[in-house]
Amino acid sequence: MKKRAGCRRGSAGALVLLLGLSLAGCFKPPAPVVQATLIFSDFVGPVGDRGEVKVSVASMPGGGLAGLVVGAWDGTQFLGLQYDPTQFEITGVEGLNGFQILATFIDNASGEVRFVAVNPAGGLVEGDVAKIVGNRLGGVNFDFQVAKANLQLVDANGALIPDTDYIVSTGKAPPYYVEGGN
Amino acid sequence: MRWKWTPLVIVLGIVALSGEAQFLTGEWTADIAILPALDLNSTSFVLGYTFSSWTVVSTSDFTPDGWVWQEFNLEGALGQIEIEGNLLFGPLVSDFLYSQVIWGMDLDMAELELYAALLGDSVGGYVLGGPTGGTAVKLSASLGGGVEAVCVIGFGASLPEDGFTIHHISGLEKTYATDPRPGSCCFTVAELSLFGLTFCCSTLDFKIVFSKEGLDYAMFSFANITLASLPITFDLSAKFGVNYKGVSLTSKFDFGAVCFDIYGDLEHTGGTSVNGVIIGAFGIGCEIGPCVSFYAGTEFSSSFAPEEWGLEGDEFEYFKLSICGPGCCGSEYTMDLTVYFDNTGGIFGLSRFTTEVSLPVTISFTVSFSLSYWISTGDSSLDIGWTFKF
Repeated sequence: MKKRAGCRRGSAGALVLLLGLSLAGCFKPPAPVVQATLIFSDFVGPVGDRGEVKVSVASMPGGGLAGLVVGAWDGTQFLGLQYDPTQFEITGVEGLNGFQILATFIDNASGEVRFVAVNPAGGLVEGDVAKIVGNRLGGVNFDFQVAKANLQLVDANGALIPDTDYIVSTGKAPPYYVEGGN
Repeated sequence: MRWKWTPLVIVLGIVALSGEAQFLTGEWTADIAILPALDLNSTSFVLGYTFSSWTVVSTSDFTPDGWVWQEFNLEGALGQIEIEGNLLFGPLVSDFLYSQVIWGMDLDMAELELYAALLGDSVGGYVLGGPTGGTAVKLSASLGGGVEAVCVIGFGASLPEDGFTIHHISGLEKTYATDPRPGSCCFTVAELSLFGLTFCCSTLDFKIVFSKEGLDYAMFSFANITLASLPITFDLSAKFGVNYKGVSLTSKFDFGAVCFDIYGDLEHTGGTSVNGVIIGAFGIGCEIGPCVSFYAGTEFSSSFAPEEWGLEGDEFEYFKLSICGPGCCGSEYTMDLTVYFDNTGGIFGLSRFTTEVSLPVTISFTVSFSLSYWISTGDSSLDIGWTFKF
């Protein structure tokens, strides 16, 4: 019995050692989001079926994001989020976490979507603002593009968030993907 | 186009090796579309190799997009520690996708498991993406009386109840135990769950979750609450967060051993008031004789019919006859004949019929056929598949 207990203790020790090795630098953790960021996620969904792009924020200042304009006037034109219309067909934009979509403009011929999202109840520091839904037409990876000059972010105090105070991250349409979570 | 030769090379390799080595096991499955056009739907090769107490399995999956998955699984034991490893590659992007190692050890009164996983940067869909990895420790113990306690502590990883699924745009997916997000070497989550507690007339599951910021939520789930002799049961779950409370009520109709099922829901007008019962779909299933079964179902309101009915578009009703019988080498053949109905004006309201046949040819070779015909459009599809085991 003593030998068995010793063996078990040895195995448990080995197990703890394996965990220690795992935690000691085998992994490369992603850098935490400390700067205010507007994120257009990767497009997820199978070919020939529905898919979505999440619009979310992280570390938003001024009590959080309360209003978002995608496709604002940049001095020369209105231009929203651009995508490959041969691969993606947008059918709508839905508000999340209390955000309401006040206006939407979708052009599946040129591959552009503009929308205005507001949250009358308050600001969102971290979380999802909206999701852009549509159909995946093909399996080719492509980049979503949007210019900062065509974005307007309003905080919970009603003040415009200067474009120097946040960064924008846009996704792709990867062939391999996971759903949900961060 | 080079990938198209890969299945052939693998098959030739399997055949060559299987003749020489009995410790190899394998399986080749394929699904080929004959109509409306000749095309490969999917094919999969599984090759297993056992040595000592270890088993290594290689699985390769192909679709018309190409070589979608290459997976290696390892299972065995080092003394009292059981080890399982998974390694997943995406040949389409020539990159590593996911790896997982699970170490498990049976203690006298409990079971200790360590999970470690990495997610490659070719897998998208989560915020900011990038390679990420983490570990989780799980301790399970039986407390007697059918009560089980589970404690999970995550260091950048968690163990979702439904697993962690990686999708490919073809619709194929792989599911593993460890979700290596958000990724870190530091503590991210702690969960304590108690399953199978008896509370009044139902069973209770309890779960409390802590994150780095403190208490995340506590959840109480009651299952199979019955109301007197009514054929309806409820599942109730209450979730208490730091600044919110959520209550979910799910109703199920249960008529015991009778051969019909009703799919419905309670009618709400918001809040906790219940105005009535919605009957959304009705199904029947019975055995007519040995190896002959009949199924039928009608959907009154969309989204109530279960997926296994196979309704498409505006179809609301189906009749299905399942037959089986003795096939080759002690196996059974199976045949399903199904007709579907909609309101588009086809003869007798018919919209589509399907036939599915599975026929064992030899002890290691099974052929399957799947035929569908859409009456309104005249379209048809015919798929042929096989499974070869050695």
